[in-house]
Amino acid sequence: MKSIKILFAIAVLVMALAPVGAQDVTTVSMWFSEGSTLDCWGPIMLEFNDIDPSIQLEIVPQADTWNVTRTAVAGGGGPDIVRTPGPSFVYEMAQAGLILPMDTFAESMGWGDFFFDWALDLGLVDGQLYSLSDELETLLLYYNVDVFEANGWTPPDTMDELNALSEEVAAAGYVVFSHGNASWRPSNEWFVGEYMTQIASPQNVYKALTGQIPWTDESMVEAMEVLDAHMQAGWYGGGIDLYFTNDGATRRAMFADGTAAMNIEGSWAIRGLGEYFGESGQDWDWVPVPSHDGTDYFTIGMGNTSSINANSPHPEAAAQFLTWYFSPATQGKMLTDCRKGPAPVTISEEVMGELDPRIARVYADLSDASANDRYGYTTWTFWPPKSDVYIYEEVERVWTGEITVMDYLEGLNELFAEELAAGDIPPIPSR
Amino acid sequence: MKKNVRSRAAYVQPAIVYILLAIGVIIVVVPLMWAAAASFTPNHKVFEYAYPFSWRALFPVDFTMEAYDNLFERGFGRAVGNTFFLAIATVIIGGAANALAGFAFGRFEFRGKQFLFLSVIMLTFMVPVDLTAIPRYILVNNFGWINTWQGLLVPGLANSLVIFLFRQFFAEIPQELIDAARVDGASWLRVLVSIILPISKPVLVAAGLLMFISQWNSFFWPLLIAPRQEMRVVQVEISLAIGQYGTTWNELLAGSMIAAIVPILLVMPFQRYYVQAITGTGLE
Amino acid sequence: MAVLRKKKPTTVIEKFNDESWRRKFLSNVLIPWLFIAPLLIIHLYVVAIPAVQGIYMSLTDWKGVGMNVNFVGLENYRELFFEDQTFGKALNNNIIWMIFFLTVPFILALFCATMLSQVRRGGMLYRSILFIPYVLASVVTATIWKNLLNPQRGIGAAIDNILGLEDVFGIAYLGRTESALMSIAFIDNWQFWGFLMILFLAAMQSIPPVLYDAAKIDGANRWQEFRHVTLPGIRPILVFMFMMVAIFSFLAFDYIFLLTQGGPGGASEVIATQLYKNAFFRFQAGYGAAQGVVISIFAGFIILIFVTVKRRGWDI
Repeated sequence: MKSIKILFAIAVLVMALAPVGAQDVTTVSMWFSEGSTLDCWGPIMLEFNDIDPSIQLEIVPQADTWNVTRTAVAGGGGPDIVRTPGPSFVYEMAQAGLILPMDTFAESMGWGDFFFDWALDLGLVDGQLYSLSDELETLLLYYNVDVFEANGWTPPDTMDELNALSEEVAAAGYVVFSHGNASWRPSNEWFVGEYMTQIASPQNVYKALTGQIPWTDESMVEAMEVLDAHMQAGWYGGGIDLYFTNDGATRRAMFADGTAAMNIEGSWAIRGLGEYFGESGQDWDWVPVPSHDGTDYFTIGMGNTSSINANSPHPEAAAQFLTWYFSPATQGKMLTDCRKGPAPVTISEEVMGELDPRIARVYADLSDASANDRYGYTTWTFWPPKSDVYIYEEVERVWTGEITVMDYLEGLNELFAEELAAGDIPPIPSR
Repeated sequence: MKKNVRSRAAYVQPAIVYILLAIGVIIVVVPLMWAAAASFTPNHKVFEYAYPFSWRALFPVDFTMEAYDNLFERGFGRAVGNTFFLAIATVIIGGAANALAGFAFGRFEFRGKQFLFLSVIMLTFMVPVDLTAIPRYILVNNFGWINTWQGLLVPGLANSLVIFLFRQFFAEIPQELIDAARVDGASWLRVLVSIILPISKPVLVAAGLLMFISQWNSFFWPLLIAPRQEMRVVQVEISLAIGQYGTTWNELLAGSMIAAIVPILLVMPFQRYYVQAITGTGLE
Repeated sequence: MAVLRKKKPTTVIEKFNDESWRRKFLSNVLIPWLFIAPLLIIHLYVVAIPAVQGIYMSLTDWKGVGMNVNFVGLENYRELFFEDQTFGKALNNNIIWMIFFLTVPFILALFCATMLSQVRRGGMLYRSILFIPYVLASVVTATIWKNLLNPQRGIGAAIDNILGLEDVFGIAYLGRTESALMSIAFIDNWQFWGFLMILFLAAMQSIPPVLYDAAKIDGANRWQEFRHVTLPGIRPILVFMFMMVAIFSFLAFDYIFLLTQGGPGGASEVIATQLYKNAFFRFQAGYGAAQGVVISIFAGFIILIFVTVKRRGWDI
C-alpha cells in the first residue's frame, strides 16, 4: 500500500516536472506583414533558431500589422518584439510603459560595438534606450539612363540645374518625376522634407526643429514655393490630379518604361526597381537630390524600429534575438540577399563589395555625409507626430490651391511650437 | 389623336426603360466580370487586357486555376471552414440571446425598459470599432481569450439591428394568441417555443442572415484577437494577398469570389423573409 | 423590539405567499430580466463597457496608447466645435454624403425594382447579379474601381479611345478636389444599391396584385400606379432604410479611407476619417473619441426624428 502511494507521488512529481522540461524552449514571437518581404527575410531570420535550440523565433504573418500590433500591445498582449514605424511611436509607447528600457541589454550584449552612436541615440526616451532603429533610408534622385542618353541629358548637380533640366524634360514630352501618392498618401512628406533640406539647408531645418527659427523662416518659404511650383507645373506624375491617383505600380512602371525621366524617392525603392527595369530592359542610376548650392546633402530616415514588449515573459530571450538580428553579419546578409535597407550598423567592406555598386554607393555616401555634417532629416523620423501628419495632410491643400504656402507654414509653426513645448520631439542628433 | 400619342409613349417608354436597365447592368457587370476573369488569370497577366481596356479583360483568355490552387494550398479551405463554423455558432447562440431580449423588449412591461433599450441600441453606434477595440481587447485579454474561439465569437453575438428586428416583430404579434396560451397555464418559455417560434420564421431567417453575413465579413476583430494561422477567417486570409510591396491580384480576387458566393447563396432564397421581418408583415 | 423584528420577515413571506403579488413580481421583474440577462451580459462586456469607456476617454487627453490619462472635461468638445476648422468641412461632406445616399441609391433601387417586378423570366438571375457587389469585401471593390477609374488605363480612357477623344472621360476622378467625394460615393453606391433593390423588390412582390388591378380599372397610369399602390405598399421598409442610411451616412469611413484617405487636400474628408487619423496618427485618441461621441449623437438624433414621425402616425 505504501509503495503504491510512493509510486503515485513519483508519478505526480514526474507529471509536474514534465511541463517544466517542455518550457525549456523559450519562444520569441514577432509579427510581420506577409508578402514578398517576408518571403525573403523570413528564412534568414529563422536561421536564428539553429544557434540555440532553447530560444526559438516564431514569425506570425499578420495583415494590417502595425494597427493590430498597436491595439494588442496597448491591450496588454501582442508579440515579444514590437516593431513600430518610427521614433514618435516609440516615444508614446515608452511613455505609456508598453515597451521596456533596454539599457542593461545594450550594455551586456554590446550593442554599442556595432551600432553607430547617433543611431542608438535615436532610440532614447528620457535618457533610456527603448528602441533600435532599422532600415536606414535616404532620398535619392533616380534617373532613367536610357532616356537621359537618348536626349543627351546629364544628371543635375544643383537645384537650378534641376529646374532647367525639368523644363526640358517636360517639353520633350516626358513625365518629369514618376510620382503619385495613391498607394501611400504620406509620400507627400518625402518632398516637403527633401525640399526643405536641399533648398533651406539641413542647418536651417535643424534650427527649426530645435525651435531656434520658426518654420515661417524665409528659407522655408522659398523651399515650399519651389515645391509648389514644381507641383503646379505638373512635373510630379504628369499633373497634380494624376499625382493623386498614380499608385505604386503605375509610377514604377512609368519610370522603368521611359515614360518618365526621373524619380525622387527613398533608397527603399531600389528593392522594386530591379524587377521593373528587368522587364523593360532599360537602366537606372541615381545621384544625390540636387541642393541650392550643389552640396550633396543626404537626409537620414528610419523605416522601422524594434522594441521589447513590456508584457513579454522573457525579455532576455527577446534581447538575444535582437542582438543577433541587428548584428552586422545578419544585416549584411539581408542587404545582399534581399536588398533590405540595413540597420545603422557597421557593415563590413567585404559585404559591401558583393553588392550592386549603385546600392553600395548609397550607404558609402550616406556614412560619408553623416561624418561630414552633410546629413539632413526626414520628416517621419525626426518630426513630432502631429506636425508630421500636418506636413503630409495639409500640403495637399497648398497644391490644390486652397491655402497659400505661408498659411501652411504658419499652421505648421503653431502646431510644432505646441509639441516642442510639450516635449513630444523625437531625439534629434545635435550637429 | 390622343390615342396615338399614348400608344407612341407606350412604345418609347419601355425602350428608354430597357436602355437604362441595360446601362445599369453593364455598370454592375463589367467590373464583376473583370474580377471573375482576373481570378482565373496568371497574376502577371491580370492587367494585360485591362490597360488599355479591351473585351479580353472580361474573359479568362489565359485560363488557369493557379490563384485558387495557391489559395487553398495556403489554407484558405481551413479559413472557410473556420468562418463557417463561427458564423453558424453566432447565428445559434446570438440568435437565441437576441431573440429572448427582443421578446422582453417587445412584450413585457418593466421598469427601465425604454432606457435599457435605447442605451443598448445607441451604444452600438459608438464609433469607430477600432477605438472601442482597445478597451474590448483588454477585457478579452483579461479573460485569457486571445487566440481562442470564444474570443472570436462572443463580441459578434450582441447585434443591435437584430434586437431591433426581433422587438418590432414580437411587438406586432396579436395579444390574444399569447393570452389564450397563458390562460391555459403555459409558462412564458413554453409560449415562446410553441406559439411564437412557429410564426416567427421571417424574423428568424432575417436575423440569422444578418448575423451570418456580419460574422462572415468580419475582419479587424479576428485579425486582432486570433493572429494564429490555424484560426484565420476568410477576410483575413484574403487580405494577406495585399502585401506591403505588392498585391497578388489573382489570389485577392479569387478569394473574394469564394467569399462572395456563400452569402449570395444564402440571401437569394431567403430575401422575402428579410423584408417581411423588417416590415412586420409576416403574420398574414 | 422583538415583535418588530419578527414582523418584518413575515411581511415578505406574506407577500410571497400572496399569489397576485408573486405573479406581479414574476411577470414584471423576474421574467423580463431573465429574458434579457443573457444578452445583457454579453452586451455589457463587448459593447457597453468599451463604449462607456470611449465616452469617458472623450473627456480626457488619452493618447491611444497606454491608459495613463488626464481628465480635461469638455475641452475636446470645445476644441472640436470652436477651434477645429476642418471639422465643419468634414461635417459638410457627411451631409453631402447623406443627401447623395438618401437620393441616388433609392431612386435607382426603386426604378430597377419596379422594372424587375414585372419581369417574369430570368428575374432571379438579374437580381443575383445586381446583388453580388453587396457581398464583395470593400477592399476588393475599392481596388477594382481604383483601376477602372484610372485616368490612363481605366474605362474613361477606353471610352475616349473609342470616341477618338483625349482626356475627356479619362480624367483623374479621384484626384480632383471637385470630383473626389462624388466618385467615392459612386463606388460605395455601386456596392450598396443592389441590396436596397432586393429589399424593395421583395416588398413589392408582397403587395396583393388585386390592388394593381383595381388601380388599372380606375384608369391609373404607370406613375399613378407607382405613387398610389407601390409606394404605400413598400413604405415600411422604405422608411426603415431611410433611417438606416441616414445613420450610416455619419459613419461613412471604409471607402473614403481606402480610396483617398480624405484627400486630395481634405476634399473627401469626413468625420470618421478625421477621427481615425486623430486617434491613430496624431495620438489624440481622446479627441477622436469626442468625435465618435458626436457621431453617435447625430445617429441618436436621426433615430429620434424617425421615432417622432412614427408617433405622429406613420408606420416604421
